[in-house]
Formats: sequence, C-alpha cells, structure tokens
Amino acid sequence: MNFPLDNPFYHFVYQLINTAGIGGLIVIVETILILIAVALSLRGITNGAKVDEPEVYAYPTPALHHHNGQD
Amino acid sequence: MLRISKHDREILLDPLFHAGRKFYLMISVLILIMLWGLIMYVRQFVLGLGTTGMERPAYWGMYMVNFIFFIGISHAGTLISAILRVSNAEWRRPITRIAEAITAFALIVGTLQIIFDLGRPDRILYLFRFGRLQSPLLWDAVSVTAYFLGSLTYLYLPIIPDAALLRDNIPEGAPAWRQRLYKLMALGWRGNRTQWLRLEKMIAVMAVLIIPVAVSVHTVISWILATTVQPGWHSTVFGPYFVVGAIFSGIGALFIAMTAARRSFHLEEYITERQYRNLGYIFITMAAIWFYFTYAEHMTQAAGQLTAEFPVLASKLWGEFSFTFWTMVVIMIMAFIVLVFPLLTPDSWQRSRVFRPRFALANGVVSVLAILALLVPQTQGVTADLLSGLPSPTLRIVAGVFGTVAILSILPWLKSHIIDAMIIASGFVLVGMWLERWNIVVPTMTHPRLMPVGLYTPSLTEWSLFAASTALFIFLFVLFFKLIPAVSVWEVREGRVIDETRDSAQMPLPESSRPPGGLQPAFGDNEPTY
Amino acid sequence: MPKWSMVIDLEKCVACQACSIACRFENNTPVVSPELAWEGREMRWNDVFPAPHEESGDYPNTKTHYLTRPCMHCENPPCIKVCPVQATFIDEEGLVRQNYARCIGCRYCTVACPYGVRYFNWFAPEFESPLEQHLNPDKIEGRGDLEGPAVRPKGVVEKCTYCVHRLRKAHARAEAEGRDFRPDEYMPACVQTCTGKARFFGDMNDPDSTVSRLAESDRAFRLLEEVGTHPKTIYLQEGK
Repeated sequence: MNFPLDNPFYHFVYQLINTAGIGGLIVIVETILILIAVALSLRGITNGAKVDEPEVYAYPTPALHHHNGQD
Repeated sequence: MLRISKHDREILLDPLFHAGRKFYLMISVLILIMLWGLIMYVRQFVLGLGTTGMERPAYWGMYMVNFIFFIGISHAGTLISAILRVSNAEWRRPITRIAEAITAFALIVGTLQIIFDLGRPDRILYLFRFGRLQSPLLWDAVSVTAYFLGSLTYLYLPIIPDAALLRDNIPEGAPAWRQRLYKLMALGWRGNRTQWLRLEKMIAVMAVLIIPVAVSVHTVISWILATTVQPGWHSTVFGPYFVVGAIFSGIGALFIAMTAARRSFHLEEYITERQYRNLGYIFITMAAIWFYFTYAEHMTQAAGQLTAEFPVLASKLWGEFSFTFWTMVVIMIMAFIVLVFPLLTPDSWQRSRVFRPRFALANGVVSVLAILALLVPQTQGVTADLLSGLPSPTLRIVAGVFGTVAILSILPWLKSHIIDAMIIASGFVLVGMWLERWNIVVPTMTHPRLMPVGLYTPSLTEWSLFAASTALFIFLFVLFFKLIPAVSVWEVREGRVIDETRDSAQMPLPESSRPPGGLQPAFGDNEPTY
Repeated sequence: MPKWSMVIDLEKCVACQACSIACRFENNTPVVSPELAWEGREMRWNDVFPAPHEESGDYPNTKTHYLTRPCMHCENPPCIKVCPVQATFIDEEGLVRQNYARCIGCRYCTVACPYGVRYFNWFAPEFESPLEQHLNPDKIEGRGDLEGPAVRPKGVVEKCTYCVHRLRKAHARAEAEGRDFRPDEYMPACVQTCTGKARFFGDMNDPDSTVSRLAESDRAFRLLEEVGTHPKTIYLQEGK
C-alpha cells in the first residue's frame, strides 16, 4: 500500500473516479454530445437540399463526382 | 422525385408492402416466445433472482454469458461494415445494411441481459445518479452508450437516400402511416450534389470513428472479468481474446442473417457467392486467430498450475465442464474444416462417384454411433484397473476412420455449395462461441478460492429468457426489414455504376504526340446523367 | 481515528459456530429452508467451514482444520472498486460497509470478493415464527442509507459490517455521558460471544492494543495474502 495517494494529483484523480455520480454524469454528457453531433450533421444534410442545384441523383454517379474538385 | 429502375423496385421495394402468411406466422411465433419470456421475467421480478439457477458461489450465470454473447454478435455488424467501407471493398455493398442492423439489435438485446441480471432492476437509474467511474461496469456503460448511438447513426445514414426512394416510389394503396414514416426518415432528402457530398463525408467519418469504439466495447466487457482477482479471469489476454471472439461470432451471425434475407426476399442477384467467398476468407482468419488466443489462454494456465487457477482449467479439461469445453473445441475444429478444406479439395473429386453427400452421411452416421457407444458409461466390469475401464479400441478406430471418410467425401459438396457450407460453419461458430463464453464465466464462478466448489445449472427462467431474447432479436430483425430494404439500394446501384465504368474504362495511354482532342476521354462531360 | 481490526486465534477456536449464530441474531440474517441452503442460498456473514486443502494426517487419523470467516475488511478491498453505484464503501475507520438502499443487485462485488464474504438476497427474507418477534431493532438509517442489521429487501447484497451499529451506539453513549469514546467500548457480537475466547478486537492504530500485539506474533497471517487485499482480519496459525 505505498501508492502515493497523498500526492494531490493522484488524490484528485482518485476522487474523480471514486465519487458517486461523476460516472453517470459522464455517460449523460457523452450521450448529449453524441446526440448534438448527430443532430447537427443531420441538419447539415437536410439543409443541403436548399442549395440551388437542379439535377438530383438517386445514387452517386460518376457524373456527381466528376463535378467535384475539377481534378 | 427520385427514380428507381423497375427491376430494383420489383425485388427490393415491393416486397416491403406485401406480407405473406409465412411472415405473420413467424411474427406470431416470435411474439408467443417473447410473451412466455415476459411472464417468466415478471415472475422473477416479483419473487427475486432466486428463481434462476444462480447461487453462491455462482453469482453470475447464463445472463452474463448471454450478455457477452449478444454484445459479441453486435460486432459483426458495424465493425465489419466499417472496416470494409474504409478499405473500399466493393463487395461489401449488398451486406452492409444487414450487418449494421445486427449491431443495433444485438446491442439492445445484450443490454437487456444486464437488466435481467439485476437484483433491483427498479434501481437501474442509480447507474446514472450514482455512477462511479472506478467500476468497470461504468466503463461498459460509457462505451456501450457510444457504440449504440454511433451504430444507430451509422445504420440510419445510408437509409436516408433509400427512405427518399421509398417516399417517391411508394406503391399505390400503401398505408398512409408508411408514407409518413418514409417522409420523416428521408429528412427532406432531395439527392442534389451538396446533400450527397455531405452524406458521403459523414458516412466516411462515422466508419472511421466506429471502429475504435467497437473494439473498446468488447475489451471493456472482458475487463469486467479480467479486473477481478478471480482464478482464470485475471488475464491480460482477455481484451483481444474477447474482441476476436466477438468478431468471429458476429460474422457467423451475419452469414445466417444475410442468407435468411437472401432466401426470403430472393436477393440472389444482389448477394452473390462473391460475398460469401470474401467474407469467408475473413471468417477463416478470425477462426485462426481465435484458436491462437484460446490456446495461449489455456496453455499459460496449464503451465503455471497455480493452486487457485489450475482447478478451473482442470474442470474444463477433464472435470465437470469437460463436456462443454471439448464440444466447443470439436465444433470449432469442424467449423474450420468446413471453411478451409473445400478450398484445398481438387476439382477432380467432384467427378468422383465416391465423394457424394449420401456416402458421407452413411459414414458420418457410423462414426457418430461409434462415438456414442464410446460415451455411454460402461455399466459392467467395475474394476480398479484403469486400463480395463477404457472403451474398446476398435470403436475408436471405427469412429476415426469412418469420421475421416465422412469428412473427406462431403468436401466436394461443400465446395460446390459454398452458401450451405458457410451456414453450417456459422451455426458451429455461434454455438461454439456461446459455449466459449460459458466456459469462461461459469467454471471460474464455481471454483472460487475459499468457498466450497459449486454447481450451476440454469433454471427454466434463464432458458426462457434466453429464448425470448433470441426471439426478440429475430423479431426486431424481421420487422425492420419489412420497413427498410435489406439491401442498400443506392449503394448497390452505385457499385453497379462503378463496375460498368471500370469495364468500359480505357487504360490511360502515354502522352500522345498528336494534338489534344484526338483521343476519346474515358469520362466525358457529355456523360449521360442517370 | 481508530483502525478496527480483528484477530482470530485458530489454536483456540473450537469451531462451535457460536460466532455464526451470534452474528445471525445480531444482524437479522434471514434463515432459509434446508433445500435452499443445499442450493447455496444460505447466508452466514460469519461462516465456519473446513479450510480447503488443509486436512492433515493419514487416514484414518485425519484432522480437519476449521476456519471461521467474518469479512476481512480489507484495506484494499476488491469489492468497493467494482461497485458501480458506491453502494459498498470503506469508511474512515476502515470498515467496509454496504448500503442496502442503494445496491442495484448486480452482484459484481460478490463476484470480485476472493473470500466469498458477500451474500445476495435471492428472495425476500422470511423469518418464521417466533424468529420474527426477536429481530434486532438496531439499524443505521439516514438519507439514502440503510445499513447494519436493518432487514434487507430482496435483491441486494449484504455482508459482515463488524457490527457497525454497535460502534454507533458506543459513540452515542460516550457522547451522552459527555466523555471521549474509548476503543475498548466497542466489539462485534461474534467477539463477545466466542466460546474459546479465540477472537480479539480492537484498534490497530494503538500500538498497545491487544490486536496490535497479537498481529506482531510470528503466528499471525492473513487469508490469501497473495491477492493483495491487505485484510484487517488477522489469523493466528494453529499448531505452532
């Protein structure tokens, strides 16, 4: 039992992992962050429909990618 | 208004709107099984976990085994489809959606097992209110949450264009709620260039992100066991061992699911033998790695012979778990034979009159009978002499010779029926992997250090909930593919276009001395729009 | 702050199981039917059992060595590390305690404990008449806490607490009498009842206490020292 728990840094880390509620908080924050990221990306895709491009594709074709980047 | 070719429409979209008698029959059977499971669960909830076969010292039992097993199956999906997407394997296209659906549903069913296993399921929310990061169960909550949300997104993204296709091509007379559903799921998808680019970018990002998350999930599950000091669990190899086993069983589940979809929706021209062959190669690789890890894990225990650990190993090798252990080993070897040996079979064998399934069956029956005769306990001649207790060597020779002939003579059939061969191998692997989880969880539980050695037999409640969980998994799967095409329509169509372009493309020639314009470009601006 | 410790002298122990019975009545451990006990559902916070691999002598003159086993109250307990909700925890006096009001019944701690001192309530506890008239009324209750001899609900884990309610009572008495609490005022029921006077209890932080002195004996050992749990329940070897 010579783990340096009296070292303030390790003590802080131990408190972090040993405090009831922090784990749950992390799961909740994680869920919220993922949901926000997904929602933003989906909104980006939805908003893409507003861009004024007359031709639509049922699936990506070479024609779609050919205009991309001009390389 | 997005258009779909008549052929694709007939095969991929139309069956979604016609449910036959078979479909309803299947759904009703599944619901009945689930209802039975629900009754058993309510009984367990009211009476307590004493209705299971768990006891001291086997505090964890079948629920834990099923938890590891189902979460393992979930790796099929997303991991396989993400790796194939990232590595641009073109043959992935028709099977990605099935794989991703397996992930989402297996995760739901796997997480349910934890709730079954809780003594106080009413306090499940305490996991959030009082969650403590030091506990490996919380690590599990963190990574399974990320994996579940990630794989749902990853499943949903490629559905958006298909939902739009369905929205625009819904047959006459389809119920209004489905029209609304597809409209909602399509999120106003129009299919213009900006949308496609954004969608493809997001799919690519998700495919990369989901791989480390998937690896973390089963690693953390193995750490639930490996972070304890219990004999047989405290092993550093558990993380990769579990991940490999998870992918292994996942591919097995994927083979079965994609064959079911292929047969019931008649997708023979979409899911071809090419998919089976290529996925089969990955399957063989995982089998080899799995054997390697299994050997490494048990060999170190056997060599160490620690006082607490060795009884666990001994119970598997020749003790009360020898049946499940050796069954696992034998059927995994059988799976390996079914996968690998047909590749080594010369074509000339197929013309032989001897190597026929019927001949193989006859030999197999003889061999199995001989093995059964060996396994039946010898009722007479009780003697202290160990040697005379051994069964007759003739029976062993008969079992060995006829078994070998049976395997050899089935090989040409397996070679020409690759789909059936994969299904057989997958069945072996799924059973074998379930037994593997069992052989990891239960022997350690029943061989603790300071408690008397216990016995664990799952009760009816546990078997019922296992059946109900499997039924729920199939139920979700069947229902989902009644709403969404089993094959990603746009991805397959894109793959077809790529193939056509590749076929018609010319090799880039060395620079010509003639003025530009003399050569026809491979892709023209006046390429017809599809 | 005292550090509570127990010393069990196996030389003096006669394996009479009085500690087990005293514990049962002190802590309201539910009794189970013989069938359930056979299935492994019995609960003995303080168990007496033949030590595994410890038989000595040649047949027929064999001798079985018995071990009495309360909770080890480890300084580095594997059980509290795995609890996802902090239903089990080690308090500042070194007692490993269990909060029945928070336990979700995942049984991870029972799996992690190498000593098997933790028990799970497979069914709701039942006390046959006249047992239910003799329940110990003591309990530790507070906001979100339910500990000690309080009758447990079904589906939670329970364990030996070194009779933490007795410690609370001793503190309360000292406070009511307006004096300082002395470590010798508190002792678990099993120590009090031990027929052979084989159990000793006290403060390990006090170098002059009985347990400190006994722990220095060359007969002193701890169970499963190799798993690194640093138990505070110390045994004195038999036959040496």
